[in-house]
Parts: sequence; C-alpha cells; structure tokens
Amino acid sequence: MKESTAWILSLATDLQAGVGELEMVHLVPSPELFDVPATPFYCRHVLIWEDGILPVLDLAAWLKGHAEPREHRLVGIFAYQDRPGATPRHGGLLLERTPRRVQVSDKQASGLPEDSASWRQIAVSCFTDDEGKRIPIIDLAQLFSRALLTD
Amino acid sequence: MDRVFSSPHPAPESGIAVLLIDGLKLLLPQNTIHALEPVLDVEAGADASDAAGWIAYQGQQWPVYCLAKDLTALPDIPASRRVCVILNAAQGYFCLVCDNVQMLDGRQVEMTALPVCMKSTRSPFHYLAVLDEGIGCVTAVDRLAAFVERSNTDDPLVPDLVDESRVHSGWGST
Repeated sequence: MKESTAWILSLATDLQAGVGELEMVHLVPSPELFDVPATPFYCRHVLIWEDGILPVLDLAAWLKGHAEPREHRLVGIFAYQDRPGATPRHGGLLLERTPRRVQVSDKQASGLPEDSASWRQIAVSCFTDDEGKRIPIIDLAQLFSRALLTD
Repeated sequence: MDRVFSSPHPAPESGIAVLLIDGLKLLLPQNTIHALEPVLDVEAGADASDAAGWIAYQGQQWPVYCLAKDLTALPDIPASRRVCVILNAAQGYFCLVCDNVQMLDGRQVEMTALPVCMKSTRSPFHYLAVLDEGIGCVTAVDRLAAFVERSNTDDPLVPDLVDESRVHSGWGST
C-alpha cells in the first residue's frame, strides 16, 4: 500500500487542509505583515522573506467568503511549481498553529468536506485523518495563481 | 533565492516620489509630480464626486482627492494631510493630499511584480518595492486616478503615463 507524508495545516479553529511534506519550507512565528490596499479580501498582506516579497493568503477567509479579524500568529511558507520542472515559487498561508506531520496511506482517501463547496476549486484529493476529519490536500499552484480572483 | 512571482525589476534611474498616506507608501515616478502645494490652499467641499475639495491651479479648479490607507476616498481632509500633490495626468492634473512626500534615488529601489494572486484587474499597483521601513506600492498616475475616480470600471487597466523608455526599466505595465 502506498504511503506518503503530509502536513496538516490549521487554517482556522475549525478549518484544516493538507499539503505534501516537501511543500512546506518554513514557518514564520509572529510575522510582520504589510498591507497592500485594493487587493482581494483573502490576500491583503505581503511578507518580506529572504529579500523577496511573498503574498500571504488567508485561506480560511476565502473558504468562508469573508475575512474575520484575527491575530497573525504564524505564517507558513510554501513552495510550489507552476508546471513540472519549473523554478519553485513561494507563497505564505496564515496558520492558526504549528502544522502536524502525518503519514497518509491510500486507504485513507475520502471525499471532500461538505463545509464549503469551494474546496473543489483548490483541492487535488482528500484523506481522513486519525480523528476522522476530512483533510483536503490543496493545490498550491492553483491557490497562488489568478484562479481565485473574481475580477 | 528566486523571487516569488517574477524577477525583480530595477527602478528607473530617475527619482521616485514616495507619497505617505497614513502609513501607506505610494511610489510614483518623480517626474510625474507637477507641483506641491500646502493643503491650506485646498478649498473644502465637493460636488457629487469622491473629491474632498478643490484647488485653484493655473487658472482652473481641480478636484482634490483624499484617500485613507486602504485607498477609500475620504470626504474630509484629516489634519495629518499637509501636502497637496499635483500630478501630471492624461487629462490635466490629478490632485491628491498626503501626509508627506519623500524622494528616493531610483537606482536604490528594487521592484517586484505584484503577486498574481493579489492582482485584481482594478488594482492600481503593478509593482511592490521593499523600502527601509516596510514596502511601497508602485503605481502610475492615470492608473491611480482611474481607480480613485471609479471612472474606468469596464476598462480597468489604463495606459501608464510613463514613456516607452521607462517601460523597459520597471515603471511600465506588467
């Protein structure tokens, strides 16, 4: 049976998602975020990281359809590729707490959670964790592309 | 390390003006500033537009806009706004009050394209720049004016005011 390693990300108290083991590259506690006006409600901030400017996405806000005031405790930095072989790009996600590393096997595959129809737009698969929660595996390239923009 | 969404662009060798608005730093080519006037010269009150007042300049009245740091138009000018910046625009002048104006040497500023996931078609910004304190949002006068005046909603990307030589040096459209 095929097994792989994933990180379970806490996007908000009641929202979790997963990414592949090698996709998370760094955690920034108590990050200094900078506002960029006239940006989507779920992606209003950037972070300076290794001399570059990264977008910081509040995926929980996007899934819920509105942003809630929240303390910026932790940002995860993630690497992704637009296509196989492309230079890795980076982006940040607001996290509620430190991600949890888990082993996932094929037999844990499940359907997407029903709390938001939006998961279909950004998830490539889903598994059930040891607590019985459905954890969508997100497509980071899709997330940091123009795909979520509405105008 | 690679940059996130694109290679950084060098800023033009000419100066960059930084318009400070309640913590927001708007970056424009210095040569788009036509004049700086004291905010005392702004006449409060406006018609149905989003302008906060008017200024008499070169024999005409020009609307003056006052923005919050999230770029929403404010009807009244806060005491912190001390300078009225008169910018060269395609149709005359675009006037904006700000807290202060600073000038930077363009050669010392490195610009990075606004990340694509943040870039709605209505965004007045095309680049971001890391400054000594925080980041600056790079715009062009007509792009900013179109955003503020909400006059260009169906054709959101207006041509930049910059000339072609600047397009290759970082100020042009993405």
